[in-house]
This record gives sequence, structure tokens and C-alpha cells, in this order.
Amino acid sequence: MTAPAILPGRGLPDRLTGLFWRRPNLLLVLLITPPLLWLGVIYLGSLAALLLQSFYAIDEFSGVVKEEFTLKTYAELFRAQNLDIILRTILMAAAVTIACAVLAFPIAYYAARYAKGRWKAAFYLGVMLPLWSSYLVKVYAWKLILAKEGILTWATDATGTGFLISGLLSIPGLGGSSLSTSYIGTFLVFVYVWLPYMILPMQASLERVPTSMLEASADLGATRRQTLRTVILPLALPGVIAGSIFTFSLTMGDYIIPQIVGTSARFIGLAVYQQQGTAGNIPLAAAFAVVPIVIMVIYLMLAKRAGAFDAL
Amino acid sequence: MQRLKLLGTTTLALLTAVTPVLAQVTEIGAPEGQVNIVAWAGYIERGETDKAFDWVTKFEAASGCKVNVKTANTSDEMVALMNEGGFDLVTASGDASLRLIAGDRVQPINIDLVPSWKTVDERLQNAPWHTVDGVHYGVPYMWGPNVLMYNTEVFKEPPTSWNVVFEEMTLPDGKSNKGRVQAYDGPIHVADAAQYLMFHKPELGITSPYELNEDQYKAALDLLRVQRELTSRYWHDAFIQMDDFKNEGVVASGSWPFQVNLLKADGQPIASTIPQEGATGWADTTMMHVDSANPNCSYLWMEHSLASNLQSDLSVWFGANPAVPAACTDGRGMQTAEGCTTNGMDDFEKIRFWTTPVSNCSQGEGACVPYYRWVSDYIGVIGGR
Amino acid sequence: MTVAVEFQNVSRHFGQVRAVDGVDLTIAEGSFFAMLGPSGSGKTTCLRLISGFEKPTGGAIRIFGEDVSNTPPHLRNVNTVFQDYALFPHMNVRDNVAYGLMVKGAARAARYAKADEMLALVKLDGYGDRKPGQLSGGQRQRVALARALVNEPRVLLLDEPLGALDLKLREAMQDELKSLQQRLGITFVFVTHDQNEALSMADSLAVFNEGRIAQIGTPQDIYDRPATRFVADFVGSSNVLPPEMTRALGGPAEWASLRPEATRLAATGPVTGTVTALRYLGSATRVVLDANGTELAALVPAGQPLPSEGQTTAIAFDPSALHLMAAS
Repeated sequence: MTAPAILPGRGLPDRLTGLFWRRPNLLLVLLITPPLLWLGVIYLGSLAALLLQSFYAIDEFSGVVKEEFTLKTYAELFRAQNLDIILRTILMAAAVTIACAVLAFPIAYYAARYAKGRWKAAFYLGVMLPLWSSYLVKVYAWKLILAKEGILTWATDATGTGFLISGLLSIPGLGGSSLSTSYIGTFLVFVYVWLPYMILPMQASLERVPTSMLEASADLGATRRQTLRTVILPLALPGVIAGSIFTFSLTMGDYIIPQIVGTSARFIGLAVYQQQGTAGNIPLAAAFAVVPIVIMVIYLMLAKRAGAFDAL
Repeated sequence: MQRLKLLGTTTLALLTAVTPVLAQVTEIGAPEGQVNIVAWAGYIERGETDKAFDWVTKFEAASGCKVNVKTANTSDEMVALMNEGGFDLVTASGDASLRLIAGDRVQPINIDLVPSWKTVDERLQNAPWHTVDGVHYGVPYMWGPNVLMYNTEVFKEPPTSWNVVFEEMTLPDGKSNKGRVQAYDGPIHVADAAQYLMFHKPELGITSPYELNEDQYKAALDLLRVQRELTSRYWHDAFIQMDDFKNEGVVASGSWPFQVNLLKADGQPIASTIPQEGATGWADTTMMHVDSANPNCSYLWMEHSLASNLQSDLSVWFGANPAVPAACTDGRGMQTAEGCTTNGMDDFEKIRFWTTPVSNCSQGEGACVPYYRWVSDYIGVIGGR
Repeated sequence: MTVAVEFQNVSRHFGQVRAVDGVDLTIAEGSFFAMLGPSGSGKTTCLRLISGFEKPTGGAIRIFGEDVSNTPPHLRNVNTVFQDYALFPHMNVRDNVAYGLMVKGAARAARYAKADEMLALVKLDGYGDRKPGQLSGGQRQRVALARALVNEPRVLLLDEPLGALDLKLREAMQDELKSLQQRLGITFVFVTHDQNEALSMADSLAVFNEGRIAQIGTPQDIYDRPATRFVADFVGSSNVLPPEMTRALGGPAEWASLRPEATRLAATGPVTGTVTALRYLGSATRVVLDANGTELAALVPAGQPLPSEGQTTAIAFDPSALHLMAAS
């Protein structure tokens, strides 16, 4: 007896597979509807609610939000102390992003080019490990490390390198009485906490640069430096941009770190937290929250114009 | 849509108009099973920090009302939480209580349903921070001064003036106070500066640190700008401040007795004092949310909160003064008459209690700088502006 | 004759693996030299030793008489066309071609002029503004060629340059590469695993096996007179005869090769076999026989009668075509 041309179905899985084969779009729709709903309703919805709130204003004495359209709250953003907060945050986010990029590049490059097998696993473990412990624990630990009577002071005193820290702390505007109460301390903790978010996308993009591309560059007469500048960096740029979006926006939105380590001067995240949480000024909080969104949009437009996504 | 909104607004307005008459509870019914309280850290203890201090578990067993506590760090946060809703009670300080009343967030209290009301300190019974037009909006809980906490290894003698945190100077250990003092990270701290000026610059004519005209306000901000130079970090979280005294080399700061007592218990060389300029202080009131879902449990808690043994333990725990004077002396709790004196029970008149600054003040209509400017200007001062 | 590239007992070991093992080699200037071998035979490693991407573990490499053991790739006047072309995706075609000039500091106008000249040379005029991603495989291959030639190297290395192209394009490119090499007079060294490509293009070639050179010579030498069984097997699709069969066919008891086109089918003969397969090739048919376990092939020109599968037949051959060789 010869086998039939059409095999008998084996129940529901076969029927479903058949259905999806006949209507390929059905599976797609089923798969992307939940995330789209999530994105559309929960995410964009709350974003819209946020935007709406920022066009209200608060009654200063009772602290009750008046639901009338006004630009008063946005005008408040341009008060000197609020502009300070915005500028301070942008500078910090930019400094953190640059430092993360500079620190992450050699690590990511090593991992992408040289690490194999067990070393690669060690790399991933090393990069991810800090992400496994609680963020708060890490920040409090850093407060103790950086404190005036903390581990770092002890270590530098023991090694006779205390002048390094006191030199750093005497920088006007950035220094302070200890690392834990200065902008430098805030910066250090930000860099530590967000570094993995820069390394991973950078490593992914460097890994996609074929070795032959680097060999071709050397073959044509380029020095290491020229290869780095004209081939590796442009090709790794999408990863650098992705990483910088993480570090930049995470720094702009964070409100825990500057609260625990730093000078008490407000950052946008802290201002949002304080305005909505302690001052009950949700409109101003919303207006503050719009600032990072606007900055990120501008940043992405500049990056696109600079050709950051050409290699995509 | 437009009509619906109009309808909603009208209904809301009608409800608001009749609220004061309807809202006041006339009798206590069956307990609902729980009560949700917004409180300062350390105000409502159930023996979890220290086994000896527990005034919740017995109440829960006796009343059948489970007590849920949400800790708030600043008065502004308390107001915000009450505006959000979902809570029954709040231990509001004077700089929050009037705002809550003005914002219709709290309801009048029927003192007939709180039998212990008659035991409340007479100085507090009609205090202006919870009594408006003769109507009581809460039950007094506790009061105390904002003390000057200091390190006894640096100060062999208690500092006599707040100048150690306001002006650059050499401390008794021969080193500058720069980077070694702290200040409270809340706009109400402007009043501490004003009080300091009240004593040292009488020519400014400050009569109340909560009622400042433009010139007086400017002088206070200028003083705070000097303080900014001295202060590495401002404190708003009691536990971070304690850590800063331990690890950050901070030796003096305005603080609460709460931190002083915990640090002392930890064996740290810490003490507190009320310097010559006097002190600001807080007098907290248990207030009830206008939309409280658990009014019966709320009333039961308010009555319980005035029990003299609770008041006695609370005042020891927090280093403050009970709202019920009998708690100092009747021996039902840990507090003693001497303890009350140490905590400033007799200094009531010297303490200028936190209250919300408003523009219409005793200096005239619109003569004073209102609170919202304190908020934004203080953010500016901390930001170095 | 000037020697362009010289290997003296060169080895490249990766741990236990001897990728290149004691290779001696000379490549004459202006020649078209092919390195042929199966994958893993060491031919690509040899190419990379010339370009400098690999360093020898032993021996000496000289390019135009100069020892390059300590010269990094970017200082060798040698350029490479990579197997995957390795075009820079973020640059347009003109910038890709001009890259070698750019890194040497040439002015923009000068290097673009030269790049356009190179593009004309590989018949890609007017493609300068496109991105590599917008080109076909053959076009990319030409861009890679133009880019490698822009520095006017003295030796051009090509690593399986035609491997990714389809048959027709490959044949066209073979002719083009050959004529380009003749026109420019540059030494071309190219690596391939395709024996037809090597035989048709190279002036001389080296056959690699297991890290060593099995034979080096002109295509004729290699095809007609394979030195070892391996070469015969790999290069010519030749019949490889074991010693006893060579003797049965009238020769000495040694390994020998016999090209299929020199082999005919006959009614009788000393060696008979069973027809196992017939493969139609157009101008001829390849008949495969099983002779006592040895596979033999004969080419039957078109128009002549063919045996059928399973039929037994004898083979005859031109005695001059029998070529004796080493056992390994």
C-alpha cells in the first residue's frame, strides 16, 4: 500500500499550524496585539495623561490642581532655579554618557574581538552581575565607600594617595567636603550604575563588525588609530547611540542617586519626584518630565543628522 | 462630553458645599477592620524597631482595626498623599494642617466621640493650626522642638547659638564648620533662618518667622545662601542624616529628638540642645480624611492616640512632649516629669510652631511671602542660586 | 626573473594544528600565481602570511627581497581582495575605493580622481555615489578590486575572489581578471579551491595538502604529470591506478594516473569493469566503471555508442598517457 498524499491531522496543533499557514497574517496579529495594546494604551496613554497634566496649574496655597488649560506651569520651568535644575541635569547626563562610552569601549571591544568561550561567559557575568543586586543596595554601598570616613578615604590614606581625593574635591563647583557630598560622587555612582547599559549594546554592535573589515583597513595602509576612527567607530556608532540613549535618559530620570550621594542640589528626576510626591505639584512635575523627552528627541535628531544610523 | 463634565462639576460643587454639615460623624458604628494612617517616621510603633515601644498591637486586638502606616518624610509629602486619597488619618504638622483644611482634604472632628479630649493639654485644645472658626479638624498628638543636634566630641559644652549652622566659624575642635553641618531639606527651614535673624537682627522687625515681608524674606534667604556654603548635603531622611553623623563627619545640624535618641542608643557621642534663639517646633494633629473609608476605626484610633500610656511611651520614644499632660506624671508609661521638662514641656511659649506661611498675614493683606515661593526659592538656594 | 614573494621553510602553527608546515615557495614578478587546495590545506593562511595578518611561527618571508617578518600589514606594499569583499558599508563606493589614499593623506580632489579612474578600470564608471549595499555581488567584487588596486601595490592578493559569483559571471570575471593582470603587469596571487579556475587562469600554481605544498608548477605540469596521488585526485578528476592495476595494464608496479580523456572503452582488454554510472557532459559522456573495487572513468565523445548501466566492458588507453607518480 502506498502512503497517502495528505497525511492525517494530529489534532489541535496541526489544525492551528494549518490555519496560520493559510492565513499568515493571523499569527502576526495574534502575536503583536498584546504588546501593541500595552504600548498604545498603557504607555502612550500615560504619556498623554502626563502631557495633559503639564498644561494644568496648581493652586499654591491648598496644593490642589486646577484643571484648566494654562501655560503657566511651563513658564515656571524657565525660572532661574528650575533652569538650573535642567542645565545641571543635562550636563550630568552628558558627562556620565561620555564617561560610560569611554570606559565601555575597551571592555566591549575586548569582549567582541578577543574573548572566546569561557572568557566570554566571564565577561557577560561580570557585566551583568552588578545588575543582579538591588540598585538601592549598590547606591547605599557607594555612599559608604565615598563617605568622608569611608573605605576610599581609608584606602587612599593608607597608601598615601589622599592628595588625589583632596585635589579632586578642591575643584570649584564640582568638589565638596567629601566625595559622597559632591557632584563628583554623584557622577561616579551614575557611571557605575549605568555602565552595563553602555557596554552591552556597544559590544553587540562591535561584534557585528567583521574582522575582514579591520583587516581591509590595515591592508590599505591605515594605522590602528585611523582604523578606529574611520571604520570601527562609525560601524559601532549605532551601538554607542543605543547605549547613550540608555545612560543619558536613565541619568536624566534618576531621582534616587542624587538624593543619597551628592550636594542635595536638585536634578530633573528628583525635581519630578519632589514636585509630585512631596509638593503635590503634579503639573510642574509633568512639565519637568516633558523636558527629558524633548531633549531625547533633539538628541536623536542630531544623532541622525550626524549619520549615526547610516550603518544600520 | 462637555455636558457630562459640567454635570460632574456641578455635582461636585454641591457636594462640597454641603460637606461640612454632613461629614461630621455623629456616632461610632461597627469597626471596619482597618485604618490607614499617613505618619512621620517613628510615630506609630508596633514594636518592630524596639520591642519596648509598641502601641499598635494591643489596639488592633482590642478594636479589630488593623493599622496600616504610610511613612512620609516631609509635610509637603503628607499633603500630597492626602490629596491623592485612600487614607483615613494623617499626623499633620502645623505647616500642613491648614493647607489640608483649606483644600477640603480633612473633615471636622466630633470631639464628643473622643472621650479623652478633656485630658488634652489646654494649650493645644484650641490651637490655631487645627481649629478654624471654632471648628476642630483634628486631635492633637504630640509636639516638640526642632533641636540642635551636635557631636559631643567636638562640642564639650552644648552650643549656645544656632550660629554654628548658619555662619562660617571655627568650632571648639579648632577646625572650620565648613562641610560639617547640615540643614533640613524642606522649605519650612526658611523659618529657622528667620528666627535666627529675629534674635540677631532686631532691626528687621520680624515678629513671626512664618510671616515675612519681602525685606525680611530676602534677609532670610541671604542667610540660607551663607549656610549653603557650609552644608555639604541637606537632610530629609532621618536615617540618612544619622548615617551622615556617623560616616560623613557631620557634627551639628537642626534635627529631631528622634534621631538624637536613636544615635545615643547606638552609643554615638551625640546630644541636643535648644540654643538661645529658641527653636521652631512642630505640633502634630491627627486629622481625618474627608473621604475616609474607615471612619469608625479612625475615631477609635483617635481616642486610643490620647491614652496616657501611649502618649507617655510615644514622648519617650520620640523625645517630644505628649499632648496629654497627665502622661508626664501618672506613671502609666515610661515618661517622667523630668523627662518632659528636658523635652521642653515648659518651653511651649518659646517655641514657634510650624505653620503654613500665607500672603495675608498680621502685617497686612498680601504683605507676606506665601509658601509656594518658599518652596521654589529654597530649591534655588540649595541649587546654589 | 625578479622574485616577488619568497617563502623559506615557512610554518604557521595554531597550537597543535600545523596550518602551514615548512613551505618553500617562489613567486615570479608579474606572474599570475594560484594557490589551490581543499579547505584547511593551508593556502589561505599562506596568503595571510604574505599580507601580514598572520605571523609565521618559523621560516622567513621576503617580498621583493626584503624580509617582512617584522613589518605590519599597513606598511606592506601588498593589497588584498577579500573573499567577502569587506567593503565599508558606511562609505559610498568612491570613498571605499579612495580609502587607501585617504589614510595616506591624499587631498580629496586627487584621491577622488584616482578612485574614479580605478572605477573606470573595473567598468564601474558612475557608481561612485552608491553605497555597497545597493550593488550586486559582481559589482561589489569589482569595487573590492578597484579598492585594492588604488594604492598600486606590487603584489595583489585575491582570496577566493570569485567564490560567491554564479557560473556565468565567474567565467566572465576570470577572463577580466586575467586581462587586467596582463595589462597592469602586477603580480597576482590568488587562492582558490576550484581546480578549473586555477588551471585556466594561473601561469603557475601550487597545490596544497595538509599544510604542505604537494606540487608546484605550470597548469600543464600539474594536470598532465601529477606528482602524487593527492594531486591527481584533486586536480584532474584523473583515474588513479593502484600498482597492481598499473602492472596489469603493462606498466611497472607503481601508482599511476590516467586521464579519462585518454581512456577509451574497448571490447576486450586486460582490465574490465562494470558500468556504474553515465554522466552526460554535453560534448562527451563520462562513463564510470567499477574495476575490482577501483573506480575508473572514461570519456566517450558525443556521437559514439554508449554502454548501458550494469554492462561489463574493458578499457583501452594511449600508453603515453600513463603517468607514474609517488605513493603520497
